[in-house]
Amino acid sequence: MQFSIRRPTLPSTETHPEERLYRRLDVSTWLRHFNPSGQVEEEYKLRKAIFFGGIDPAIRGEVWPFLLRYYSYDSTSEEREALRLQKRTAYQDIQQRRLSMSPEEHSEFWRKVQFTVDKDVVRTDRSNHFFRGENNPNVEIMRRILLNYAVFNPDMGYCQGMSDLVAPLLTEVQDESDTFWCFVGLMENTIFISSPRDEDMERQLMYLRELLRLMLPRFHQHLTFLGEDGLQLLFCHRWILLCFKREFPDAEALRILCTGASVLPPE
Amino acid sequence: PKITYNFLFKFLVIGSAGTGKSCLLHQFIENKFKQDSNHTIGVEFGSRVVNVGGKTVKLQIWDTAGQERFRSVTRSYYRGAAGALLVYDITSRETYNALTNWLTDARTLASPNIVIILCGNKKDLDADREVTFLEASRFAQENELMFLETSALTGENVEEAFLKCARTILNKIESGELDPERMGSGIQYGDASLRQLRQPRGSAAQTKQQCNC
Repeated sequence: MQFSIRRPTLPSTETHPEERLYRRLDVSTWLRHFNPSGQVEEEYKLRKAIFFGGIDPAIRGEVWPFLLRYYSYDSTSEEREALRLQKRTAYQDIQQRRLSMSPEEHSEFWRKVQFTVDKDVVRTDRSNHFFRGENNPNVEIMRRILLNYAVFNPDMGYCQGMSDLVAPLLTEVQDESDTFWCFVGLMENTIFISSPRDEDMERQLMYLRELLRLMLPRFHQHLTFLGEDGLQLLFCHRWILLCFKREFPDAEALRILCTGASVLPPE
Repeated sequence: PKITYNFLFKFLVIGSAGTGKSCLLHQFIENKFKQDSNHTIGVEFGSRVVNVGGKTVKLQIWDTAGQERFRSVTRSYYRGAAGALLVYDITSRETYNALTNWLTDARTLASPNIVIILCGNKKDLDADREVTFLEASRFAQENELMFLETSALTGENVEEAFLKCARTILNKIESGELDPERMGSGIQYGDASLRQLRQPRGSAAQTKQQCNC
């Protein structure tokens, strides 16, 4: 069962005054945001255009590394190429660390991380053509990214739900190392997308409760009446953790992910 | 139309990731095997009304991620559960080894009286078996659990597992061992009239609003 968007267009009284000013960001408008050395001149303008207008699916893979702060907006094309090479080496080092664990380390890693990752990657987005079919190499790439991430950030390790976020990144960005670093950015730098830390989740739930109280007071009252569990909003946890990825059809879900990523976290 | 029932039981499905918890739930509710099942994130809910020993019982079943990390989820999840299916995968020793931890959580976080049935799932994959029936039954016996080997794929013993657990709870209510009136028992009466019948005269009739979920 999935959600659908009931009112795709809203009367202007219900929308942000700037909403209609932006069309979806396509290749040519995207390129106009760069100066000759490949720097984004006005980051804020670009992010705002993406927030209101969304991105043409064809250039998602180009834009996301910026939104997820893998590339900085003021980097030049040359600097980005250098960064990619440098990050590729760094990624290989992380992988090497994983592959050279002692037997004891490895058995702990297997129990804490790999056991679950192995089970989850084969049941993540398998209906997406990019991951479809037996022995699909992209599933193995997704697996490596997640395992390496757990080595890179042992405090976070692997949390169920991460595979759902890596999958669309890999589908769009394609390159293994680039996807890894975009995922690192996603986990660290976004505000709408919750990292799977307890305190981040609690904060997101607090925002949601506050929104419900203001926007749907009767429903909020009902939840309060149900006792302690009602306001835990268990039925919304997946929405928050996966940024609605499983709640909407792919196209809408990616649009939401993108909009979320275009908002910077508070300093 | 709204189905009336005598009791509502809160049930949990617990166990390690990938043991087939959601598939057991799906098989029980839809009588089908869930192909291409996603791993559960957060909590999912299912319910089914069953007949047990002449009583109509609504099972409200909570299914959670095998790897659940959020305090708020754990707290609410276990609170006031009357019964649980504790699931491991007969082809994975690791999931069997984790049972003790799951059991401790259930008994400390839900209630020491929670009625638990151990389910050795994926019975259809006998060729890959890593846990024998015998050792699991011994574990069940030592820990006072009921035990069945199940297959969410073929449906074997799935309904039996849920019903067996429900029947035991019902027996305990009838013998007075479980008191549905106790806070956090995980049991609710299905309608007000029944409740009043059982309620001792003079006690404050505090009727909790019934939610239709």
